Parts: sequence; structure tokens; C-alpha cells
Amino acid sequence: MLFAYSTLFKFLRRLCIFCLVLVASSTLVFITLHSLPGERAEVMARYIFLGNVEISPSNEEIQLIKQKFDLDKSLLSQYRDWVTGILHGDLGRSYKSNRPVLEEITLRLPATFTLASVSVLISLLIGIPLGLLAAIRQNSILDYICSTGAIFGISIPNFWLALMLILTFSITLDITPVIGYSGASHLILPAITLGTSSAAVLMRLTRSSLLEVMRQDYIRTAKGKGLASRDILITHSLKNALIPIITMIGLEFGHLLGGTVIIETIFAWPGIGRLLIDSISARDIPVIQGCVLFITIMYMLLNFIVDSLYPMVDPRIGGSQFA
Amino acid sequence: MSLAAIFIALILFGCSNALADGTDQTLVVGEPWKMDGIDPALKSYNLNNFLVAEGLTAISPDFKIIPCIADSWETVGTDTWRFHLNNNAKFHDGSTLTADDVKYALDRSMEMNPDVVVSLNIKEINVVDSLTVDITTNTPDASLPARMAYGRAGIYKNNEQSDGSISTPICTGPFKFVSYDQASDTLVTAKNEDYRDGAPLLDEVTVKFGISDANSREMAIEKGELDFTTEPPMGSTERLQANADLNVTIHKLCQGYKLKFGSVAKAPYDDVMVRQAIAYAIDRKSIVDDILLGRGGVSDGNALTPGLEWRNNDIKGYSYDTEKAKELLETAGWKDTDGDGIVDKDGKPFKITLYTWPERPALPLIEQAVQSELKEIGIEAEVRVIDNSVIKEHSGEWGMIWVSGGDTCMMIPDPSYYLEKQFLSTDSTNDYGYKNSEVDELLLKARSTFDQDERYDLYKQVQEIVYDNDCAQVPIAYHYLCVVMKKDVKGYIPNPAHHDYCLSTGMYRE
Amino acid sequence: MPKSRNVNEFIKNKASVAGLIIILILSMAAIFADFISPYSTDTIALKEKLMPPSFEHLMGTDQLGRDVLSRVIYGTRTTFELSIMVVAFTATFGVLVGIISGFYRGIIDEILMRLIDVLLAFPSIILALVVVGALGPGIFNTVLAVSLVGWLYYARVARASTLSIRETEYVEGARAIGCTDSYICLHYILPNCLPPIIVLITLNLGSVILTIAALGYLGMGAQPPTPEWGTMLNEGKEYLRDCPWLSVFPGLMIMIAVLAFNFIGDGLRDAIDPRQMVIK
Repeated sequence: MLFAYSTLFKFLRRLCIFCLVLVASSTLVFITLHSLPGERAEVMARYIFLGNVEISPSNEEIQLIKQKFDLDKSLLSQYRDWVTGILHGDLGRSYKSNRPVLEEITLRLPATFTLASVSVLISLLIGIPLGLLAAIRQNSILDYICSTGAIFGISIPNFWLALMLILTFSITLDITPVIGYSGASHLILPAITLGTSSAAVLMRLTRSSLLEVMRQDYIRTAKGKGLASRDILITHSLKNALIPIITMIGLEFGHLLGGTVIIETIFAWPGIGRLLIDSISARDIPVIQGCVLFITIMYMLLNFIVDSLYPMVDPRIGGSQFA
Repeated sequence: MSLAAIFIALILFGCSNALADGTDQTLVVGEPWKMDGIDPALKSYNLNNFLVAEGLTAISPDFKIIPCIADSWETVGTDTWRFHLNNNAKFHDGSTLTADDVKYALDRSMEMNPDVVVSLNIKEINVVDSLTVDITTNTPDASLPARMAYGRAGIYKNNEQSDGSISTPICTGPFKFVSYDQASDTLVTAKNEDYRDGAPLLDEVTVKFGISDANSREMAIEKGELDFTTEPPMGSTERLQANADLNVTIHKLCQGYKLKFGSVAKAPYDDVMVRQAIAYAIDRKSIVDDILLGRGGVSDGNALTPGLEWRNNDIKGYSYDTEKAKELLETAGWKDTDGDGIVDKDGKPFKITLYTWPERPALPLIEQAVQSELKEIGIEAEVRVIDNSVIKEHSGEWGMIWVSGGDTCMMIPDPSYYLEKQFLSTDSTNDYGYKNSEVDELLLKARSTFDQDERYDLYKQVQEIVYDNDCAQVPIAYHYLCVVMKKDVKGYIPNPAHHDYCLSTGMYRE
Repeated sequence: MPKSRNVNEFIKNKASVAGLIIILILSMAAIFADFISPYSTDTIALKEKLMPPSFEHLMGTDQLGRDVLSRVIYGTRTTFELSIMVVAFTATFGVLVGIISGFYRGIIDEILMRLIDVLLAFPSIILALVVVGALGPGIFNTVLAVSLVGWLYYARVARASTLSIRETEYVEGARAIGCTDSYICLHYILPNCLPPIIVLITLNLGSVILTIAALGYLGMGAQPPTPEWGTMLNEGKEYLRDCPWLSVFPGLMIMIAVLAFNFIGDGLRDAIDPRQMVIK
């Protein structure tokens, strides 16, 4: 009873602090973005009305746009509008397309989600088994190859890897398509590019985590009478080693989103990362804010899910792993 | 028995031939820029490029204003143009186009799109009868018929949804709208069987917008995912030309590269000799050969594209002459008094910043080439590559120069568009302080001179003044478009009057 | 911790030593770029553009005729300068905050933990992009942008070290004899933090180099004509298929530098304290 009470309390406290951080960071982002040069009317002119980013809109046109959309508002009232909007689920309208920001984001969510999920899957399928093998056959040739490969995997710049993969598989070998995003064949190259560094990280983590646990367990059980069979050892060790691995998967899912920014641009993948980059270069402030807000919330959710998984893996652990 | 066999064989042979004749008449186009929306009030420019939307007039590949939806037009009084509509013009849904539709479309476009308001200069539109429409301009305007060929003056039917937007445009062109997918920015069009000038040859055209990466476009067309695309990476021209499956065309466009001074109303560019010095310092040929790698033409000093009727072809321009440049600078008072390689005047060294934007791959390179050429004559320049809308904020800096690309002279197919925008002191885009009252007078007179020859002559005089006498801007090169098509795509006729390109009705797959 | 044992452990690890050698070579290249670079890096020679690797130009020439090898060498300097600036700032600031937070606990510690919760998982590249997008591209803004989140890693590690030593008799004893808080922090806590921090610095350098290169690749980092590997990759994009040397060499350099730092970091970590699992 007390236990449940204290977890609830901890949860509420975390929630409060999270909200505080969210408000503070989004306000900071808001102020930074709005203190910039490049006004909304210009963005609207170039992207919606004039449709050409290289031609300067005339002052006349800018004036017309300002009148039409009532754009000359003070920073404070804009902030107030934005905050009230958020509380109603309205993140404002994109300068570039005049569509609701929420719509722009939800339109592209499935693409990013698919890409991220498949990448994580690939990294799991490659990273964990290899890490396992490397740990079991420590210091063998296999271990050496996997470990070195993993270090390469985390060192290679993903945009460079993407270009090399495209050159090899799309052009030279003609296996995968270049543009488009529906269907598994389109998904493979970007997912592999993204998944590589995650797979490398997971592989190393699995290996070291498993080795760590195995060493302890081995010493412990060796002291006891009789030696437990190797298989039981491994399964037991693996279960214990899972905790940092699960945390890592959660973190990697997050890092993947950072990686998607570049990868989506290279593979013309219509996801959130690409939306962010396009909005940044167009100075489409509402969309930038919306994306940042959205990603932050997603991260908290992710952390929360990861934290909730711990008690399932090891009932001894009750609270946040970060404590 | 054998006769029957022969007979059957003949039938089969005939059938297979017929099948072979029916090649797939579809085209997949890879477009670098985004469209991001479909409402014709905002996007009829793109719809026009892909032959879905049409305007009252059109512009031919040799820069003539030709009839389109309107058969003919004449002036009524000084400020009204009367357009007589083609009685065969039909919308894609079969209904006949009337003057009411013209009024509807133009009024709506002006209401929703401030750019159309500014570009068309229309005061009001009046329906005279079902096939005649009067357009009154704000000021007497000889350029109105040309303005009606502007892509954004496209005519469409009223099929608004409840919120006032149009998501399935009904227009009059050779291709009709089939579908548009917002998420992937893809447009599908189909042949308009009942097009008044005869149906086009292609059955279906799919346009994939927003393929901004040049490598992606190139690889996609090499692999067959696209049939038609433009602007492959700068270094690929030769390799693509050697590719047996592809056809590469490089053709001129009404676009170019130039240097634009941040301000000619104050130092250091208020002195025409300084401007001319810079004009002499640029090695245009090297820029075209070594940076544009053949996808461009050396400018003779006039930014207007060769071939335009109102172009002054006798502009002397500025050759590449470093010595002359240095001489001019010296005469203007800029000398290297302290031996540091940079000229100075009254203690101020000639240190400036060049600005350009990244979207066009040649621009940062031209910028760096110009930087090195300016160094030769003693001007030290820093280079910056930033977003176009932000450069404006820097235009007040001492000695700032824009290295400009995509400088189009035919966005609206009339001389008034470019010449007024760049050189009319009262034009709201003229932000660099150029003011020459003689030029102003000529331009305003030309806008309301209805005799074409007289009008063009006035514009030619303007060009002589702004380029040769005043050196108001420094044109460097013309930009040529590189179009890549599958070998079996035939019938493409380049229309340089369109910004970038537009499809041709005569295109087909062999 | 007997130092000699650690050094021996480190040397035993061949990869780490290789990494160290590579970094030393690159550092020499960065410092002595003016002497060892065969050509100047910004002289434009348009007639010699896009030449493949040859005896005169070991890595070929770029689209403006500049020698790629020279640019790569100067690029080492740019990259190292930027990364060191970032790491110097973030490490100093992060360790400071981490020690204070871990030592005094209380509300500051709470806030820091929550900040870590939120921002550490947040992809730093996105935040860096927003900042650079807001302030404009350029070297200074790049450093600022990349530093914004980076210091948290150091804070977390420093905090963890602080916590682990704070309650020991070692420190209790110092307090008993009347040492001030700042003295304890400086002479007891800080040295304890150093080993994992050093490991983190080497690993972090690798990741910072990648981020800076990524920003350069997107056109948001160092601006032309400054030679920076990521920016060179961006410039080389237009000639990828026909002049691949423009993309291969800078990309390779990025990988080699990051690899070397990762080798060193791994080796250091194994040598100094294999139990300290510093998550990248």
C-alpha cells in the first residue's frame, strides 16, 4: 500500500517537473525563433504565393499578405496565441503551406515511424545475437571481427554510408529503387543505414553487459557446489543483462530520430526529419516549434515506457533507472 | 490443314503487331521543386507547366504571345482590353467555357493570391457577353495580354468545396487533372480527348514533385523510375550523354547569373567607375566553361535572353580585362597605398562581402570564383552562403554584393516585368537605390505605349542606359537547362519562356 | 589505482595504440598544415578542376581546381579546432555542474536529473539544427549548437562519480579535519571524476566530429571556402558519380578520425575501469 503510494507520488512529481522543463524549453525555442530575421509574410510569399524561393517578393505583395493575414502582432500576443492554441490541440499554421501544423506532422508520422521501427528491428536482429555470440566466444576470431566491425559501425558517418549504399545497391547492383517510399524495397536501404550504428552500439552493449554478468555469476556459482550448465548460466546472465540493453534500445530509438533527419533527406523519405529540415531552411517557425515539441513529448513517453518495462524484467527494480 | 495454320499464324502475327503498336503512352516526370498543394488560385503556375491549366493567352517557344483561351484581343479606350474567347474552349468536364468563368477564376485568384494582384495590375473584370470579357487595368497597360499568359492567370471552373478551396481543379488544357496526393506531392494527369486543338499523344502523365536531390533524380532516371527529369548533378552531363538509354538536351532559358550591388546610392558603388571596374574583372567565359560546365552561355552584358524581340542586341558589355578594371578603380580614387594588396581610399580598404544562397549548386562556386577575380584587382571579398530571405537583411552593409542566380526575365512574359522590377526607381522590388529619371520616364511611357514597335524601341533604349552607361548590375551568364529523358520519349519542344520547363503536347513514347 | 598497470593494459590493446598513433598523426597534420600541405587551400585554378588523383594531386582536385589533399589536411585543423572547442567548453561546464549537483544534492540535483532525463535522449543533431537554423550557419554558431546538449553527458558522469565518493570515509575524514567544501571538491572529488571523464572526452570527441560533419553536410556548418570535411562532402555531392574522390576522401577522413578516438576511448575505458559503463 505504501509502496504504491510512493510510486504514485514519484510519478506525479516526475510529471510536474517534466511539464516544467517542457514549458521552459519550448518557450526558449519560441523566443529564439521569433527573434530572427525573416518574417512570416516573406515565407508565405516565397512558398505559397510566388512559389519561387529565388525571387524577392515586392513590398507591395508583402503588404497585401500582411493585411490579408493580420500578421503584425507583438511577440507577446503571438506567444499567448500559441500557448492557448496548444492547450486546445492547435499548434498553429505552417507559414509555408498555411495548413495546420498538427496536420503536417501527422501526415509524415507514419513514414518516420515505419523507418525508425524497421531500423530498430534490424539493429536488434543484428546487434543482440552478434553481441551474444561475441560474449560467449570471447576473444575468438568471431569476437574480434564483431567488435571491430561494431567500432566501424559507430564511427562511420551515416550520410556517407547512405551514399555508398545507394551507389552499390541501387546503381551498380540495381537491386533497390532510388525514389519513393511505399513498399519494403524502398525501406531497406534507409533502414539499414540507420540501423547500422544502432546495431553496432547494441552489439557492444550486449557483449559487455553479458560478459559483466557472466563473470559475476560464474564466480558465484563456481564457489558453490557443482558447476551449473553453461546454458542455464547464459539464460540467467542474459536476463540480467537485459536491463541496460532495454534502456539502450529506448535511447537508440531516440538517436534514430536524429539520424532520420539526414537519411530522410538523402532518400527523399517524407517523414518528420525531412519536415524539420525543410522548415528550418524555410524559416517556417510554427512547424519547427511543433516538431520540437512533438519530439520532446515522444521522448518522455519513450522513457516512461522503458522505465515501466524494468519491473517486468527484474522485480527488484522499482523505480527509474536514472535515479 | 497447312492453310489453316498459315491463317492462324497470320492472325497471331497481326495481333502481336497490334500489341507492339500499343506502347505504353505514359510518362513519369521527376520535378525538383515542390508544389505542395493543388488549389489553382495558388498553383496554377505548375498546372500550366504540365499542360493542365491554360490562360487567356500563351507564350510560344519563340517568345510570342499567342492566342489560347482567347482568340483575339483589342483595346477599348486606354485602360481596357477586350478579349474574345475561343468558342471551342471547353472545360475538362465537358462544359463550355464562358466569360463568367474567366471572371470567376481571375477574381478568385486575385482574392486568394496577393502575387496575382500585383502581377496582373487588374482593376476590374467585366463580362460583356458569354464569349467576350473586358479587363480594365489600374493604369493604361500595354502589357496586359502578355500578363494573361502568366502561369498564375490560369482559368479554372468553380468547383469549390465547402471551405472555399478547390482540390480537384477543372481546367481547359490538353491534360486533365486526375488525382493529387498531398503526402507524396504527386500529380497524375490524363489525356484530354476533347481538347480543342486535338488530343495529346500521351495517355497519362505522373509528376513527382519535390525530388530535390540531383543525385536522386539522376539515379532514378538511369534506373527507369523516371522518364523525364531536369538538372542532373553538374558533373554528370558527359556521362549521361554517353548513356545509350537516355537523351540529354541542354537548352537556353530565360534565367541567368549576375552580380547585384547591395546599393548603388551610396559608397562604394555610387561611382559608376567602380561598378564598371567590377564588371571588367569577371572572367565570364571561365565561369561558363569551368563552373557551369557547359550548361550556360556567356553574357554579352545584357541580362535579357538572346532571342527576345525587345532585346537590345547592340549592348557593348564588358570584356574580361583586369588591367582596365584596375585602371578604373584607380581613377575612381582606389589605390593600394599601403602595399597590402587591397586597394583603399581615404583610409578605408576595399573589403566587402559576397552573398549567395545554396539552393542552386553553381552559385557558391561562382561566388568563390568572383571572390578570387576581385582579389586580382585589389578588392578583398568574404563569401557567405545563406538563405535568400536573410540576405535582404544584409543589403545595407558597406560594399555588399549579391551573387544572384535564377534571375528570370520572363516570369511574366513581358519586357515590363524584368526591366521595371530591376530598374524602375519606384518599383517596390527595387531595393538597391538605382534611380535614373530618364530610365523611369522611358519605362513608364513604354508601359502605356500600345504600338509594339515603338514600345520595344523604348525598352531597348532603357537597356542601353542601364547596362552600358550606368552598369547598374553585372550580368555574368545565362543559365541553360539540362533535360534528361528516356530514349523513347519524343516530341519535346523546349519552351524557354517558361521558368524551367513545360511539357509539349506533341510528346509521345516511341 | 596503480598507474603503471593501467598504462600497461592500454598498451596491450593494439587497437588503442593504433588509434593514438592516428590521432597524433592527424594532430601533427592540423598543427603543421602550412608546412606539409602541398598547395594552398583557397587558390582557385579553374582550368585544373575535377582532376582525378594523380602524382601531382594525390587526392585529385575539386570543382574549383583546389588540391583535395591540401584541403583535407587543412580540414583536419578545422575539424580538430571545432571539436576541441566544443569538448573543452562542455566538459568544463558539465563537470562543474555535475560535481556541484552531486555534492550538494537538493533541488539543483533534482532539476539536473530531470534535464538529463529529457535532453539526453533528445537527438542533439535536431537541437543543433534548430539553433543553427535560427542563428545562421557558421563556425561559431555550430560550436554553440553542438555544445548545448553535450555538457549533460559530462554532468551525469561527474555526478555519478561524485555520489560514489562523497560518502566514503576518505571524504568524511577530510571533512572531519575541517576542509572546506570547495577544497574537498577540488582535491578529492575532482580527481575521482577524472578517469571516466577522460574516457568520455575521447569517445565524445568522436561523436562531436560526426555531428559537426553532419551539420557541414547539410550546409549548416562551416561555410565555404573553409575546408571542413562535412562541408566538402556537401560540395562534392554534385559530382558524386563522376568525381567520387571528392566524396570518398573527406568521408574516409571523418571515419578514420572518429574510429581512432573510439579505439582510444575503448582502450582507456578497459584499462582504467572496466566496470564503469559509460553509455555513449
